[in-house]
Amino acid sequence: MERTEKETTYQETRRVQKGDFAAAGQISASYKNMLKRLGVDSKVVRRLAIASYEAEINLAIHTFGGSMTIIVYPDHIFLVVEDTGPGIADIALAMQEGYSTAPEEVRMLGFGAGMGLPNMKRCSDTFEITSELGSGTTIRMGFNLLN
Amino acid sequence: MKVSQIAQILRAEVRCGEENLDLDISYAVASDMMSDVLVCNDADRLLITGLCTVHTVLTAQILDLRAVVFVRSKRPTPEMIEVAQQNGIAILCTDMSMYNACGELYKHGMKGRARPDGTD
Repeated sequence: MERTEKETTYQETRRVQKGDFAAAGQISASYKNMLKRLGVDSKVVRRLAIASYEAEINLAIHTFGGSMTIIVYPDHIFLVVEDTGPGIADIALAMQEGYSTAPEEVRMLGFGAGMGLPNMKRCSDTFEITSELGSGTTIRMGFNLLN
Repeated sequence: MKVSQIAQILRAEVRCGEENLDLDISYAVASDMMSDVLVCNDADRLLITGLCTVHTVLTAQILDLRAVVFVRSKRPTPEMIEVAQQNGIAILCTDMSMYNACGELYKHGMKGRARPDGTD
């Protein structure tokens, strides 16, 4: 991800508030519109929008709040998702499909089936997650525009 | 299968997106869990659901889906209709249960698509 600022086509950071499920999805929808305007391939746009939507929902329902940063280069897009806690105790377990700590009210809204993190990994070309209990979690996803 | 045929088979009311009635959709996915719907990124799918929230329409938007069927007499809110209209998504409402709606569409040739892990 070490790139010069000069190469950047677009960069934006937006906040997601803890518990703001009602607004979750708006950032991902705006990414989608912006990337379509930039002429990015529709399949890449869809993969990125799904990964971003999963991340946005996760930030709202599982974390104390956080941010999403999108950085667009001519050949690559990076999506960085950071939160301020509580952190993930067992990343390997959290990456398993079907494992979820989402409360019942979130499931009633159609989310929290334990598919979010594995789906982010499936939709992105590169996926890194680091987490520390008490500090928070950072997810870095990359999307190649040259494939 | 054309969206107009889907509406006819399900005896569904078309709440918005009449411009999509002539569009062909090849596959369907049925779930009340948007988490499960998001697992497959294929746009050529009809979403059949009883989850009637704005996040259902947002999920359709994220996936580039062209039509959503609400079963069990669920009716969308004006906000949902507005989001659907802005994104070219047809909203169909039927009084059928999820089971019967899926059964009727399957009987008429609408199939599901394998999930990314290869399961049906």
